Amino acid sequence: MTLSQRARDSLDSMMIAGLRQGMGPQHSEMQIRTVPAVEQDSLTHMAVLSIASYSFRVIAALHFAHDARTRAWIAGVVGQDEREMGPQPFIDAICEVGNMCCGAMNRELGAFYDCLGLSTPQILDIRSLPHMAQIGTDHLQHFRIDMPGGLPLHATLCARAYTPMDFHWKPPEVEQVAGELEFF
Amino acid sequence: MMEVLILLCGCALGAVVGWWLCGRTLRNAALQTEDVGKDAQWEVENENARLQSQVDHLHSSLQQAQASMQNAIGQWEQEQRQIEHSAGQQTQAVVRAVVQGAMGHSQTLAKALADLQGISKTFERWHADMSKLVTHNKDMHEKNDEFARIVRQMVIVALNASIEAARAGGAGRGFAVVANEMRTLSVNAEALSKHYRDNLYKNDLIATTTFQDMQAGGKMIINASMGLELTNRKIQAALSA
Repeated sequence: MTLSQRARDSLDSMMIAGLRQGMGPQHSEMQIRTVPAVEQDSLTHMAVLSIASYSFRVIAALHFAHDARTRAWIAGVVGQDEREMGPQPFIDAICEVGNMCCGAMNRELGAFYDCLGLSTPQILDIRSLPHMAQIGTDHLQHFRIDMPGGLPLHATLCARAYTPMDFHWKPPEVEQVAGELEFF
Repeated sequence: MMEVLILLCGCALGAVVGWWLCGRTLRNAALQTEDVGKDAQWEVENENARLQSQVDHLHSSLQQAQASMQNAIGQWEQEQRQIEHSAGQQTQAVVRAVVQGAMGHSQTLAKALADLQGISKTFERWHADMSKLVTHNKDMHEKNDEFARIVRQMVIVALNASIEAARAGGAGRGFAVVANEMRTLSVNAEALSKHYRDNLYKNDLIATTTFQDMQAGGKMIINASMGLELTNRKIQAALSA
């Protein structure tokens, strides 16, 4: 196995942490979980980014619906007025979320691999997604992002290793502030 | 009493005679001792004089030896200074040549790294080509969608033709065969159009991810190049110091 199981698990954890970071701290109630397939019916496009090294390639995609509900959400993420957000600023904002996600992954992978590069995001039709498994992959994992308003959001991680790849990454522990005794 | 007195007088006389004899003996001994001391003193003085002469001679020899040694040390130090000066000059020349050589190589490396970072222009060209490819694919998507609409229309027309042929009865039997053939061709064309559309989406994904792989790889090279440039600057600063 070129890509070890713990490396796959580490990449999945990095993807989840990157998505959380990309979507900002205001989505604390957001749940991200791995799913066997993406429900494409409610989605129209995906923002695709790549992280490349000499020995591996990681493709990350954020799937979304190009509709008013997603525009309202992304306007909140980037702090813009929804009514003033045209098609291009909407796409730019989605790409920025993808960029933040992959930027975080890139930084974390940098702890294990010296030479890394991150691409710019590209928007593709969601109908390109089924072909992800055919472009050469050692690890393909889909994620469902459950937002409080029921907004349809998914993500996919696709990794290919050209030499044996094994590392173990754990997300940083969040400081626990609850449970402290308070005296009055 | 007289006897006692005589005895006392005899004793006194004896004592005086004894005292005189003893004093004489002592005086003779003293005179003899004085003669021996004078001889010894004379010998000691002679010996002292001889030794003093030897000491003076040795002192003179020592001073001459010290002077000779100081001259030799002076000459040796001068020669040493000359050697050190010469060696220092040679070492400085060698170090200077090495530093100049290293600085030259470092400047060559700096130029090569600056040229390498120009690879970003190549990525811009690739990006432009990628945009052309995406535009071309989009045009093909539109053409294929148009083709799919025509094929769907053909399916409907072929279906209508089959219905009309059935209405014509025996006279329309030949037309029904043609209509059915047209319908089959339309269905096959629709399947082909769908397959072609799927391949266009696959092509979009392959083109995008391949371009992104090149782009990310290029950024990786630029990042490595920038790291080398920084190190090279530090080396130049160290060589200039």
